[in-house]
Amino acid sequence: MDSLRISCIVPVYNGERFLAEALDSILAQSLAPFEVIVVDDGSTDTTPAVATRYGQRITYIRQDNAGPSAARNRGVRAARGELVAFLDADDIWRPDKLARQAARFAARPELDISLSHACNFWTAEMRHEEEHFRGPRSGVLPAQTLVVRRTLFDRIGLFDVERVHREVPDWLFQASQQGAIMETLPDVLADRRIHDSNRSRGRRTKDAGDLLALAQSLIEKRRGSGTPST
Amino acid sequence: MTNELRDDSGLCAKERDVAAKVVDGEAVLINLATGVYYSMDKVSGVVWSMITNGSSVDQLTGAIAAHYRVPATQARDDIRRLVRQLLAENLITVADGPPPPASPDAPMAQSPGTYEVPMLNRFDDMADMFALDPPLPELPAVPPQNAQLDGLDSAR
Repeated sequence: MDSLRISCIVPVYNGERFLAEALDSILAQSLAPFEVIVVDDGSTDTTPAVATRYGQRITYIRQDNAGPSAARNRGVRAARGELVAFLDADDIWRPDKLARQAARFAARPELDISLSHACNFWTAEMRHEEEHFRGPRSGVLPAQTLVVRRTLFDRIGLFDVERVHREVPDWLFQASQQGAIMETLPDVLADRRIHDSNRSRGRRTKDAGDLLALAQSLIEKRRGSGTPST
Repeated sequence: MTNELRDDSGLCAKERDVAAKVVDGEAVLINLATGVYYSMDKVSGVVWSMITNGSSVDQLTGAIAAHYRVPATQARDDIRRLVRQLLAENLITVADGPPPPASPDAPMAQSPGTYEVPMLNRFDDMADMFALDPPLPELPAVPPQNAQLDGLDSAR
């Protein structure tokens, strides 16, 4: 059986501190990716130097700063594999991540999207926060675990460049509304690093408000259609 | 630590794990850890609003029985059941201390309407989507190493 080729896309903005760990975790996969595309979203630190140290093992694309969605989209447009996987530049994959998810696509030709669980881990300076949140708790983290059949982007479009936050969950929601076939592996296949400058810090109130508005509209829709609760 | 539920124990919403809002007397809640969402309308919306003010089962019973003119025994049974459900779903917790004094302006509608057994409606159809990438804690970008994480510890 010919296995599907996987393009790995790593959007990065000023990621000098952790980018190498992210790339090492991709290059150490038990199933080697077809290509690794680093999209540098106009970094002003030493990100270009970190990336170019990897030479021919990666494809380095640099663009003027345009936000994480634009960086992901740039990667998708450059990708040649049948599957596209994403990893943020401050996070890491576990060694069997691609193999496990590629096997799902091989087993289910109709599958559009594969996700898995991931854990949070804390940098040394954030240990007090780890203790406060009682250590790692796994959850479905899309920016760290998303693998997509590339043709799905032709059907439902790319990431919304107007969004600078939660762009991946937003895209997944659009995909699910349009009937994309999704599957989530319950295993922890990636780790999200919690550090002092995660983009999502300081947005809890707004994020929660967005989710509540969505929940409210779903409840109203159910009330209209008479669908009972679970 | 979990405190035992008694009728005179103060209750409080688990603010760290639960997003909630009340619009026109109806509460919408999301358990951010599980992605399960809930609605509490009519009588239960009032109960939720009072719980976020720290009310006890005793205080809830008094307010609901008086406002809707139902026997206190019935109101107490219904409220106990609802509170146990909220505890089981990890949406509220039993406070360490006694409840604050009952507020004279409890969040009641002007006209009571008909009493209906207060319900917690539970929906898990979006659990995968809502549990996606749960919001990170709202902490200072670079907290001082020895800072007390005040205010949040009570939610443990």
